Amino acid sequence: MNLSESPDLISFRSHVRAWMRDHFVGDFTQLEGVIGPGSEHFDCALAKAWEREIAAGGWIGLTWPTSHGGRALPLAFEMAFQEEYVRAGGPGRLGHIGEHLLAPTLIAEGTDQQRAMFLPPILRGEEFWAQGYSEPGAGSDLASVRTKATRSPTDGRWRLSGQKVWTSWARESDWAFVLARCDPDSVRHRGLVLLMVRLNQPGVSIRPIQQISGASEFNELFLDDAIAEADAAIGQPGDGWRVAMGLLAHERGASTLGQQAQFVKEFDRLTGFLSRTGLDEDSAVQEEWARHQARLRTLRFHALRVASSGVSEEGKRAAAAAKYLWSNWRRDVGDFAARCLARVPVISEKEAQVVSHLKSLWLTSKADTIYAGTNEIQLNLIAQRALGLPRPSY
Amino acid sequence: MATTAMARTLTLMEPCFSLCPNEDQRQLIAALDRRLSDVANPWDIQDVLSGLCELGLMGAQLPEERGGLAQLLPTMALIHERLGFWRAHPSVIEETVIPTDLVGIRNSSQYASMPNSLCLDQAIWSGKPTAHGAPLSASGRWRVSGNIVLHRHPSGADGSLILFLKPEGTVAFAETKIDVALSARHTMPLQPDLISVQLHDLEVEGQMEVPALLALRPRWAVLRAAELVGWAQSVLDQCVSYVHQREQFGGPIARFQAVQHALSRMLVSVEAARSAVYGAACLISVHHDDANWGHAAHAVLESRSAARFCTQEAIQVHGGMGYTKDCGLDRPLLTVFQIEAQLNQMIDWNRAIRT
Repeated sequence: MNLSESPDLISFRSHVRAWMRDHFVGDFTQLEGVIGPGSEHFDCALAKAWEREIAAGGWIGLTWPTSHGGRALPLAFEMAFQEEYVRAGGPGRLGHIGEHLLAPTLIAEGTDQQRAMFLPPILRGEEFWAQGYSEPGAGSDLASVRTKATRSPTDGRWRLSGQKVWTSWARESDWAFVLARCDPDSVRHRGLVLLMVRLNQPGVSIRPIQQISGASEFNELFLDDAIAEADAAIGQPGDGWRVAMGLLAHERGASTLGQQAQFVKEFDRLTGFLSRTGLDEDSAVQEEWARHQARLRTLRFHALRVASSGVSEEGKRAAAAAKYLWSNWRRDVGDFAARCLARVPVISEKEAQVVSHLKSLWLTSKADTIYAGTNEIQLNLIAQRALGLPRPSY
Repeated sequence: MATTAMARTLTLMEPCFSLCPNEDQRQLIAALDRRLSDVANPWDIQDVLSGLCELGLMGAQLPEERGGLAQLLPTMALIHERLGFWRAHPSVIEETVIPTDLVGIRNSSQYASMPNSLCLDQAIWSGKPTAHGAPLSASGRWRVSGNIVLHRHPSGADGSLILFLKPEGTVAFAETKIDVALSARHTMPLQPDLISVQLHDLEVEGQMEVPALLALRPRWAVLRAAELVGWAQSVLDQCVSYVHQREQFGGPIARFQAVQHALSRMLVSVEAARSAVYGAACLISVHHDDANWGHAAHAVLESRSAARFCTQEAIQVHGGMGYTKDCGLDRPLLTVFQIEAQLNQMIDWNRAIRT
């Protein structure tokens, strides 16, 4: 075990810092700290221009194979990029779903033609993706999806009908990958297909969902005879569950490795507030703060451990715990922030922005233990995959 | 734009950090596991010490020229995690690492004689000496008095005592052989595991630089934290085994979601603590400054929380059986308490993490 960074990684970090210093300037600075939970109001055109800037810098596809336009860097470099990017004030990534979820899935499961068509626009920061998994009747029980995909016997194109929900950034996206039932007689995990669907077409309508945070990052996606091309299926029709689960593993694992840098910023903001208001002199506050601070450090070490453990049994156990760890940490910190805010009766004008951020942290963190697999689903997965326990009896 | 061009030229990089055991460490741990699984009673310190000696792990952190394996703190943490996992007596650290660290730094030739019947003044954990002494000469001899607390009775004619004493307004370490008859006459049991020893004008010799001692204490805290991870993993594994065997309502209780979620939460806490301990061990092994207390605090806060949570949940998962002596969960419960109490003597960890 060794936490020393190689000269290559240190050099890489300095490149990222220098690049951010040179390029995150001018209008782009309006995006600082936005496009994330609680900060979903932003200039979409500017955010997309920023994605193209990142792409031009060569920072998209860091871990992709070179044969697909990537740089084949170890995960540690992706983490380092995300850490330096956040420290420099970089905004949330509109291209996250395409780069970190769809692309690894296409690289693993897609056809050469699909990779040639979809990976380059992602690499250039030109096309954006949304995820069409959950439905009103299929949340944690994703295998209950009812969206129908029917294949035309003449031209092979797919027609989709159904409703998706909790679709992040659907209004800002060009495409969605949609889990649908292609065999009407199938049940549960069988007879599913994962299809890539263009969102700008007559059969697709999108309605934002107003969230308790006041923002509307999530959307409802209505598919009414929406069309997907004949070669739009990732993997074989009927095998969609396996492909979709592979994609989910990216969502719960590697794609979130660098996010603790964002958490550090949020926690620093809270720490500063406690100090300025004198709340940090309260021993109960000190004790709880220490617990959260310890866990925050742990999140980074845990991410490093997952990144360096590969597919070993130990690595699998650590990875299984990762999503539960970070989501509950953030929810608990949000709750801590709210309790601290409630103890300060008069808040100065100077603190208004910090208070707004902390309230946003409190509200948006409520979603963390729900999306990408609820706490309950995570605990089920840990039990079965890391502890070898049987599927539970209900 | 120059930075962009430079960034593009970086291709496949050499391996960098790793927070999982390397191949050498895995082999070492596998050998230790094999040896400790053969120990009939891991609570018997001498059995465990024999195993460590056989594997050449006594003084593993010492430089090779002093007979050690030059292992850094991460490897030592892995070793201590396994000692906790196999439920070894927590005093092992006081017979191996601490005296080895102290004596190894001062005088390597003394190392060979140290592990046999060694007793450690428990004041070392708090850093507040309960004995005081006056120098007798420039040769490092002291006359000491005070009440000290040991984990066990010094025994054997060559028994050694490491005494933490306060000489005339400062703190220092002194170590000497003591007379067993004298110590027997002056000892008094405090608790089952603790013995008070009264010293009156006892002559001792040897001393150590205080800064070196203080720098070592965060290392020991991390090893204690590693032991807690081992104990927590041990009770989790016991629970997993039990829920497969125990049948209620027509089948094993392993199939109940409530039981599964309890075990899953235990796993999350153990994995978090393990990451914290490995990370802290790595950082402390390369840094020698006050920040080490902060790194140690991180490991301690996570591991004591995990160990406490797991031992408590383990009893719940075992139901009524968990409350019985036969189940064997009393030992993890009490040992975790003992280690936590010892750690809590060292420093206020909630404050230390601010560093």
